[in-house]
Amino acid sequence: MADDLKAQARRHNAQTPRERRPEDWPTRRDFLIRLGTTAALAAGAGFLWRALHDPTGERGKPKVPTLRLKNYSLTPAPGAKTLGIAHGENHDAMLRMAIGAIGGIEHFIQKGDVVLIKPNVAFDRSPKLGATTNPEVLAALIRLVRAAGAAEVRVADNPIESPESCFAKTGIADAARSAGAKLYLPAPSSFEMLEVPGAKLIARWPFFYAPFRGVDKVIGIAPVKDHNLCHASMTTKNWYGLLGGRRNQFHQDIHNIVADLALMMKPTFVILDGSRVLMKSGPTGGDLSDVAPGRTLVAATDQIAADAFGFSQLLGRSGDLPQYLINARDRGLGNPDWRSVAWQEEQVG
Amino acid sequence: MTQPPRDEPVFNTFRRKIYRPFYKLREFQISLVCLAILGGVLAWVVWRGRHPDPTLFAADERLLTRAGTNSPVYKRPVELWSEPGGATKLAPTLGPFPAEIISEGWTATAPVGEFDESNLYVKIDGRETFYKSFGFKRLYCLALTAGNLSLDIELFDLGTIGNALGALAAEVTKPDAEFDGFFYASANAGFLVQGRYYARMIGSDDNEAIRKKIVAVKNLLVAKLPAEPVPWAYALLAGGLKISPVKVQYTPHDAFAFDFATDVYSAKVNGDTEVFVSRRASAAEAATIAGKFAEAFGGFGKALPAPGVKLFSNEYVNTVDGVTTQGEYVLGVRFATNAGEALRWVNQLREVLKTITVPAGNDHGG
Repeated sequence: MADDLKAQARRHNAQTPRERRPEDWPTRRDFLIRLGTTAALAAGAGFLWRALHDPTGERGKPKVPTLRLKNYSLTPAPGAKTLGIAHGENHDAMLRMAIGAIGGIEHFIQKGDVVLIKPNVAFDRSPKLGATTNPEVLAALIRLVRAAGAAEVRVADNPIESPESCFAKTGIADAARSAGAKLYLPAPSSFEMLEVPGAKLIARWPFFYAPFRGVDKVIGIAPVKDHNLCHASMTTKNWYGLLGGRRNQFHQDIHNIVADLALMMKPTFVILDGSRVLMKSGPTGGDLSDVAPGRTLVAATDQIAADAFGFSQLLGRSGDLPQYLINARDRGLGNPDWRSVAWQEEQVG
Repeated sequence: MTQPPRDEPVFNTFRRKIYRPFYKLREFQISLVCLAILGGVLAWVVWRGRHPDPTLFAADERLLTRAGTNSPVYKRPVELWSEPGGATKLAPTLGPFPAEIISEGWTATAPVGEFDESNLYVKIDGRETFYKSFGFKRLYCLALTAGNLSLDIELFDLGTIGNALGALAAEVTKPDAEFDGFFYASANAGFLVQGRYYARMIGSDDNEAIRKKIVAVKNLLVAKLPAEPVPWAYALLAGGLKISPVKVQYTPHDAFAFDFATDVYSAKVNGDTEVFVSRRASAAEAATIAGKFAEAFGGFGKALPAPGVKLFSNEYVNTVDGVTTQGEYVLGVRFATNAGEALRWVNQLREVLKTITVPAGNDHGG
């Protein structure tokens, strides 16, 4: 039935073709509007295609925001030395002397500052074994920074092994808490993609960023210890503990990664904790007889100079400096010829 | 075109009857308040999303007590899973550690940690290559505590006893280190080679209770871990003469700058006095090599009378050198202070050689 109707319609149309009268034609305006609309639709479709085209699926992934660390260093105070070297047993007095030599704590810390202190908490070892920062020195530093007016002092590190165990066993957790600092332990959400322009290995790398939010000043405090791969681990190598991801792969190019760390972090100042020196079997240590009493604290605004001092004077290594210090010098990141910088050395207490 | 009646709303297409054509002022005011609250909530959500509280992402530091590792939050299950109603529940595993290791007030703070080549860096980031260079297979870690004291036991499976001895020798390099067989103890730590295992026992402090526990653990490991034949030269010099294994040196060619002296083990025993041994293919070859040593030593001085040993005074450095054979072994001494000392060391070598069992083959076990 329906087919009959369709056939009738076709026959009717054929016998009586539609008359095309001039008044039925679209006006120029209508024509231009229709043409413009068609062109706009075509262009829109093309734009949409281009915008949504994602053959690899990469564009569909959420964008990871990249961050850059700011330069936390300050203009040196008039007459300040680059290295302040204190020998003795009283950590409070030694820190005051060493930091005083490089400008004084009041120069570096202003009232209301949020200060991050980065110790070395890399292993779950007893503090006496020298593989980690001496908690007594850390506590003395926290007290000094708080007394200078810091509104908040944070202590953070990212040990690969169980952070809870490392912070507890090294005594860092107790020391930081008792001195009034706030601990920051790593969690998966603590990491952000950090951009380090000019870095050879960590131009973009996950970084333990959570404790850095809102921070005004950054202080590194690192032990002096032998290192199986880079000969010595001190203030510059200490920043390695802020990296996330599969950072152990960098051990294949250890000297360049440590030089990159000097580029990544421009701290307010660093403390080289030579109160105990792990002379061999580093970086983990284990035998107390490998630990020598260094009785020295060094404050520095040039971490490369501080490390060079520690290498020759505290670890007692003669001969060539570790290559990472040379690499850092070649990249303008510090001066490993510590005797050529301004320094002040005193016996305290 | 007729206008719709005034009381007819635009959207009232079904022309329902309108009872309240106007809102009350109070309703309007309440609506404004509701909208303001909703806007505030929206703004707060957006602001909090952009400024998260950092403490939300940090592990709770209150858990960092001295007993932090005992906190249930961080405690991994010690017991293996067994299906309900199934086979007998399996005992907690201590890996290769004997169960008696947890005794005398010492308790394990966590299950045994195991690390292989792929994740060794997690435990000892920065030093893993050291152990990998000695044929690393697996690491077992056990942490013990007793009160404020702690003892971390790291048990490395290095594949062969030669590798284990190599790692021990590379880590314990003190010239005055006194060994008890293949065990060395310091004020807070113990280092042991047992078979293919190299154990590091790291105490938290210089403490008598820790040292006592280290010795107890050492005895347990020696008793429970499988032994392996010791490379013969280590058995002779370290096991027999109680020389520190780290002092044993192997020289494959041109020992003491003599071109005939191959496969020689030597060790300093007293000042510059040095004993040496070499195993040859036969007693005849040993005699030939010993003869060459005697000829070489004789070039530095004069022969001295001695029963069964060819002794020579070294007139350049005023010392005594000597050599002899026992079966296929060449035994000797260099730079002894006098003939008596030289004879004493050679005789000690002879006596010890009689007591040890020397495995065949593999001259250089380490």
